[in-house]
Amino acid sequence: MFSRPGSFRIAGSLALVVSAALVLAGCSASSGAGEKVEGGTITFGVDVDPVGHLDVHSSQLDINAILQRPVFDSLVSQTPDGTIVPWLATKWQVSDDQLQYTFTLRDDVTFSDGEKFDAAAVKANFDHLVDPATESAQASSLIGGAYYAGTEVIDPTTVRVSFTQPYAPFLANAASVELGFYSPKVLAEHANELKAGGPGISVGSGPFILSKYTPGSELVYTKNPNYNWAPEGATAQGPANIDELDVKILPESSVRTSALTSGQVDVIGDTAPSSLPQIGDGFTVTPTESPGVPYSLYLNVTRPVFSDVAVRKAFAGGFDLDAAVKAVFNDSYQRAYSILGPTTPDSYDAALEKSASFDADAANDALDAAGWSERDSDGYRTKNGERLSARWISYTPVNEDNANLANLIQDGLKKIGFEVVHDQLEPGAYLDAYLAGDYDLTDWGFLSADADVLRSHLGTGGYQNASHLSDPEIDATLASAVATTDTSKRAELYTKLQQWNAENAVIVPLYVPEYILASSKKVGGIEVDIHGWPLFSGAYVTK
Amino acid sequence: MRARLRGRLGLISAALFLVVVIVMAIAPWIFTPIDPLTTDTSQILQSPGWGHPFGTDQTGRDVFTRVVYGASYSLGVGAGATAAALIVGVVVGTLVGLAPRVVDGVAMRGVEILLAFPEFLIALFAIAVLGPGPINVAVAVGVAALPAYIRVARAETLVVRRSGYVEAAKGMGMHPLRVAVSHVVPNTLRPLGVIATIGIGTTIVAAAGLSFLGLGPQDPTPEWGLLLSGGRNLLGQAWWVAFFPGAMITLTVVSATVVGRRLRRAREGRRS
Repeated sequence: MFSRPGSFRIAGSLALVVSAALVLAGCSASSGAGEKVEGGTITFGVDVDPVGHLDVHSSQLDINAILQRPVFDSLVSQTPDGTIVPWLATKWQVSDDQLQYTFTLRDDVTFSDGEKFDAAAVKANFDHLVDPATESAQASSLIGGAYYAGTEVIDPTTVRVSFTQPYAPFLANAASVELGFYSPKVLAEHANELKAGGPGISVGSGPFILSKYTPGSELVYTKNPNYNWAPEGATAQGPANIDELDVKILPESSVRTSALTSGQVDVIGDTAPSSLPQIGDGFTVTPTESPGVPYSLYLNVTRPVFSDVAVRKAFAGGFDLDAAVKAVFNDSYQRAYSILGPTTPDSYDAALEKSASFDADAANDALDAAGWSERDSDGYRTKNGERLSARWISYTPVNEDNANLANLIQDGLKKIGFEVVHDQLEPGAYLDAYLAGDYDLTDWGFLSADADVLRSHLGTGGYQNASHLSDPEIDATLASAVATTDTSKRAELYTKLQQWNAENAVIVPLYVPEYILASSKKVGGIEVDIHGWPLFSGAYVTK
Repeated sequence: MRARLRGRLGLISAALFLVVVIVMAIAPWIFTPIDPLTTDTSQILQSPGWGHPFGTDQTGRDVFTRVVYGASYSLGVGAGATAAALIVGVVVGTLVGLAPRVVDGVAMRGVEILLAFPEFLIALFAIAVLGPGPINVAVAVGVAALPAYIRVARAETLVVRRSGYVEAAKGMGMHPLRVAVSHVVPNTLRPLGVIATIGIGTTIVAAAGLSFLGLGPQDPTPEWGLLLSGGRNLLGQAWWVAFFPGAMITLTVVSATVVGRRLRRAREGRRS
């Protein structure tokens, strides 16, 4: 694993040590020091409550994907190196024209409410996912969006998924929790309550059953004693070791850290890099570089200020990103050079690492040449009496590290006379501004195990296309990349896109986020998936 | 004797501190030559020392400078919201005090209902209605402080209204509105001024609290509540980022309270 050249870049010595340990331990993230015990409870502290976003088919929250994985199984599973292995489907066949995927299903799987998992259940779930009433953006795009033609039941253990054109990311996407399976009974009886979720509603076939949900406080999972259909090759087979998994919602990063160090919780997720010194050596720390689009700024090319490519490039090169990322993350996160993270399978263009660098003089010259040559009394550049200013909108809460990074960027750009007004907006106000296009830039990182994530970010009308880019050549490249299963051909096309962005500065990648899991040495057997998210089916507590 | 001296020392230092904070608010550049927004990636989380008396924060900004510049917003909101509450409170309270009993009764029951809620809760409610923002924070804490001023203004109005000189003015055939403006209001203002001095402290805390929750001005604005919030996750590593803004809020509020209480005692004719 991690052996594909060019697809994995070491993220500092910490990641090196941990990834080496991962390989050796068969991807086991933590190994308890004491003796393994049957049963027991593991507590897991997380940052966000997915309240109102519990439907796996419509939620876009990473936290929901993490918290629903114990409950929902998928057709296939993706190992941390990107390989697809059988799960609820024992095998599959792709037609020669690559338009049809025929899956053979296990016939021994039941949902935790006693319903049987079969071809009809797959169809019911995929139909629900693309139903406009479900209001799904992410899951419906993962299943192919406009390319998805439908699902048909061949016999109880055979199901066929069809596409209108070849759709290469489908198998990888079929492994995601967003394409996981509800009990058909729930879909029939509780379709309107899926977003609210909870016991009796969030019902899947996974190794755990959601038995209690207190919004804002905790989620309790009990083990599914009948579970016997783990992904092929997974170290944990059969029912879970632990009897109960308690998830505590602890939004403050400092509170999560002290809850771990004081022993109130066994595992914490989304650990702030700045808290690593406080956590120290007595704990198991597992950082995983996130695949997909790194944390980036999306410049709105339809707005006057960023319609000029020279201004966009001056913006991107006008602040010292290396120093800022180092200052904020203290070597835990690496700065990003490309619009794809280094661990995104079969796509990363490492050649860009030498290209992008900070050059204030070049940025100043470019802005002068673009006509922004006058200065006002505050030292900002002007053209025809108008100040060179950009409105940056962010979705609150903005985590502290990103807020600090934003300050450094704002102050760096101020030095070249470029004003950035950072509006941190409540979710409702953010959505209003976002949908109205009333912003010059916004920010996020987007996890994805497939480079096709660029289609929603750069493709015309893509649901994450915050830059409002519409370029026929880019659309054509994205379309060819998604249609081919030839990995080298895909890599070539995605390299072209990454280089195009470096030339055009539509998206300004800032840093490669990592999901940092930290756990007490009293627990072990917690594995992580390609995103670095924890899997608890093989987890255990020690004496 | 000693107790009186101690009381006086406390009063003098509180008054001096308030004067310093007021100067900070009006002319922050006297205290520090640095721009409060200037970051420096080579000076991150420096502990308090010669170059940076209060240390530096996560982006290398000077905490002392930011605390000094923060005075203008915090004090501005405190004084502005209090003044607004005072003016509106006097007008409404006087009118209610002079109004027929039915109007007075209904209005005062409404005020009492508002008084039953903690001020901060009312401020939060006002923010929920108005939406977050630096101006809205001032409006919200002003609204929250208002009921207390209405009540006192009305009570004073009732007392003044039955006093000899008002009766005399009325007997001389003066217009009721003129009586209210020239006799009632000036006499209600004095006790309210004392309450307002203490009230400034409360509004500063409320405004800083709202900012701490992220409902007021936004980063990188230097504002005490926001500075406190920015350092809250660093208490284990860099206590100074949160400590100094917190200390400023506390000292300012304590000083305003000490001075306000002294004024109240003076008005009540007590010497200490």
